[in-house]
Amino acid sequence: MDTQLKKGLLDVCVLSVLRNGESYGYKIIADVAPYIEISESTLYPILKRLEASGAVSTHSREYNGRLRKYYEITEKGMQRIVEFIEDVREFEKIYEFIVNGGKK
Amino acid sequence: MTKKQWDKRLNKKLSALPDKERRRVLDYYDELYWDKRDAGFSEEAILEEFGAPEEAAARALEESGAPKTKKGAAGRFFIAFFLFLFVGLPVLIVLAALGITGAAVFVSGFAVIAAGIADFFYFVAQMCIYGASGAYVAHLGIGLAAAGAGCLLIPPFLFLTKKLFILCGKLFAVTGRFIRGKREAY
Repeated sequence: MDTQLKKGLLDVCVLSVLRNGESYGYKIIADVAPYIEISESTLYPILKRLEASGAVSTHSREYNGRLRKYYEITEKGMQRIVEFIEDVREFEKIYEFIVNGGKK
Repeated sequence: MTKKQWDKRLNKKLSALPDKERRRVLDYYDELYWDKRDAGFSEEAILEEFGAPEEAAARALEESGAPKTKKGAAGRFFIAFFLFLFVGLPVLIVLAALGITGAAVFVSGFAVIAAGIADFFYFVAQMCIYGASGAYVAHLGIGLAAAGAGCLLIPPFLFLTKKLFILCGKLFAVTGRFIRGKREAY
């Protein structure tokens, strides 16, 4: 899969997981991994990018005597998912057009 | 490789990042490591999944805006050399001058006392040998006055010396921070 396309898909996959509630690194990987290839080193830049763009907010909480960072989706993040779904619908039309050999 | 060794290599590869950012990456992997340990994974299995620290660092640097390719050893040497030549060396000279001034000021108060006392006893000896005269008595007075003035000068000179040394320390710390900041930028 194209690297840029995968990058964009991963961002939205992580946001989708967070739509079910706040989560943390290990759980995000476990939730996303069955659908798309993701590793620890891949997730770090995604989370950083999402946080920098305001799509997620973060807070740390104590767990088992250590700090764990939790990620929460923001309104901006929700909007990003909506935009992605709209984009995919557009792609579907293009896909149909290509599959039908350029005919309607 | 142990987790400690893995962290050390990762930390080294992240040296281009500011302290806060580097800490953030290390904390991220630390959290994942302990979550995986809690889930029953072995240290070896976790580190295998994490991959090489160099790869993890490269991914972390992707979003940081830090230069992807670090300067080679020769480049780093020249940067260090120029920083030392144009920043470190002038500051060292200023610090040395300030230090010497401080020490000189500190010593000068005692020197005035010593000179006064020496003058006093020298002319006492002169009077014993050649007999009393107006000039000799005047010199005894000058010697005592110089010793007294020296005693009065010691406290302000000590204060001045202390201030000079504090200034040296501050200048040293500021330069250290400046050089460290420049080094981290590379």
